[in-house]
Amino acid sequence: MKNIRYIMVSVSVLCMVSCREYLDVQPQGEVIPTTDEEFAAIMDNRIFDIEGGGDEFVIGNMEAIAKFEGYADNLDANIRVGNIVAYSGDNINIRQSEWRSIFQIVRDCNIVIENLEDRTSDVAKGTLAAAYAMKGICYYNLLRSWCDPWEAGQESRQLGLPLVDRFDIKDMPVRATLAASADYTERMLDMALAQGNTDPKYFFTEYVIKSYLAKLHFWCEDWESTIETCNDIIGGCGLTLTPIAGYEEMIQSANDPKGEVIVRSHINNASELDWYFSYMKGYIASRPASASLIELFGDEPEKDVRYRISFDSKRFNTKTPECKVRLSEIVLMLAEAYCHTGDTENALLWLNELRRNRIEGVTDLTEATLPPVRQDNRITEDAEGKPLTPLLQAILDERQKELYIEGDRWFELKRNGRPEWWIINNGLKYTTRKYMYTAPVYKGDVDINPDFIQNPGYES
Amino acid sequence: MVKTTIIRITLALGIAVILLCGCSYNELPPKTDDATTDYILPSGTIPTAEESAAVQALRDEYNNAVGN
Repeated sequence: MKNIRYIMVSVSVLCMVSCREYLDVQPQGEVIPTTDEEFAAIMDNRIFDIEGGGDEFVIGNMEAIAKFEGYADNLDANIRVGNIVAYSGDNINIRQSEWRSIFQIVRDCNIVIENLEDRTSDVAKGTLAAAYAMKGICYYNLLRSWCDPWEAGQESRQLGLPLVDRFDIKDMPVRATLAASADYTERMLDMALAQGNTDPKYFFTEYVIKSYLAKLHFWCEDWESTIETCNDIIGGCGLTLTPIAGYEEMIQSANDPKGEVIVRSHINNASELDWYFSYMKGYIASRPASASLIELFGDEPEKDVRYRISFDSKRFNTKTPECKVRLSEIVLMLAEAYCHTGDTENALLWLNELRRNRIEGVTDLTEATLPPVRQDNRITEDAEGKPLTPLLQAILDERQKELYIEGDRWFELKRNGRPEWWIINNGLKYTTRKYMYTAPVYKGDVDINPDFIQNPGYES
Repeated sequence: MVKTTIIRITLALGIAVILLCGCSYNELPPKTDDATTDYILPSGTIPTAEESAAVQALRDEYNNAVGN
C-alpha cells in the first residue's frame, strides 16, 4: 500500500513538472493568424490606424509633425519653447524606441507577404500591395531618420539598415550599406506597384506608391529618376496644383483629401483619437513661427495664401497639421531635380507654376530676377555639398513655405548640409549637432548583437 | 528487502525526474555589461553674453512685430 502511494506521488510529480502550458495566457480576442482572411486582417488593422490618425510611422500623424517641427527651425524655441520638444537632443531616447515600433510594422508586413497563399484574387492583390507599400514606406522613413544623408560616391560605404526579409524571431541581421538599403526600399515599392491595386480600400494605389518612389529617388539624389517619376505623377495622376481660391479649403480640411492631395492620413472623421488631436493642435500652436520664416513671405505677405492661412497675429500656427503628400511637393522635387541636372529653364518653369498658384499677382522669376543668396541662411550648401545658388535658394524657400507644419523642414536641414544651430532654454544653450540629424538605433539591438553598429555620437 | 528497494528506486527516479525537468536552456539573450536602456542626453551649456544678446534681439523683434 505504501509503495503504491510512493509510485503515485512520483508519477504525479512527473506529470506536473512537465506541464507548463497552463501558465501561458492566450491574449483575449487575439488569434494566431492561419487563414488568408486573418493575414489580410493584419493589414486592415494597419490601414485602419492610418485612416484614424493613430499611425505615426507610415504616412505619419500630428504626433509625428509635432516632433519634427519641434526638432526643426520653422518655429522659434528661442522665443518660446511651448508644449513641444525643445530640440532634437531631448528626444534621443524616444527616437531609439521608434526604431522598434517601425520594425513591428515591417514584421507584420513580412508575416503577410510570407504567408498569404492566394496571390491572384483582388483581395490578395490589395493586401499584398498594402504590405509591400507599407514596408517600402517604412524603409524609406528609416533611411531618412536612422541613416546619414546620402553622399554620392560614398553610398556603398555608408551605414544602412538591416534588411529583414522574413519573420524570424531568432534572426539578427546586421546593417547593410546605404546603397543596398535604398535598392531594397525601391524593390518593395516596385513589388507594391506590381500588384496593380486600384481599390482605395487598400489605401496604397498606383500614385500613392509612385509618390513615395519619387521621394525615395529624391532623397537618394537620383535626379534623373526623380524627374521621370515626378513627370509620370504630374501627367498621370489626374490632379492639378490647387489654385489660390481652393488652397485654404484643401489645407484646412479636417479629414478629406481635397484638391491636389495624393495621399493623407486621418481620413476617418470619427476617429477614437480625435480628442487627442485637439490637444496636439494646441501644442503645435504653442511655439511661434521664426522671424526668418516670416521674412520669406516678403514685404506683402498677405498676398501669399500660405501666409494668410498659416499664422495668427502672434505668429502661432493656424494651419491644420496633417501628414500628406501633395502635388506641390512633387512639383518642388521636380524643380529641384531639374536644378541639380543644370536644366535651369525647366526648374524655373515649375517653380513659377507653383508660385502662380500661391501668390496673388506674382511676377515670374527669371535667372536675372532671382534674389541673391542671403548670407544669414541656415542652409548654406545643397544636397551635393555645393554652395547654394540663387535658383536653389528660391526653390528651398518655396519648399519651406509650402511644407510648413508638414514635418518636412527637419529633413531639408538634414539633406542640405546638416547645419549646427542652438537654442537657449531655461538659461542653458542646447545645440543641434550634426550627428543628431541621424537618430540612434534601438539600444537593445546594439547590446544583443556586437556586430550591430550604432550611429556615431550616441553613448550609453 | 524488496520493499526498500522499490522505495529507493521510486525516490531516486522521482528526484531524477524533478532535477531533469528543471533543466531547461536559458531562452534569454546573454546579459550585457550595460543594463541601461537609455542614452545620456546632451547637457546644456551656459550661453555667452553674445548668445544671450542674440536671443534677446529675437525676442525684441517678436514683441515689436506682434505688438506685445
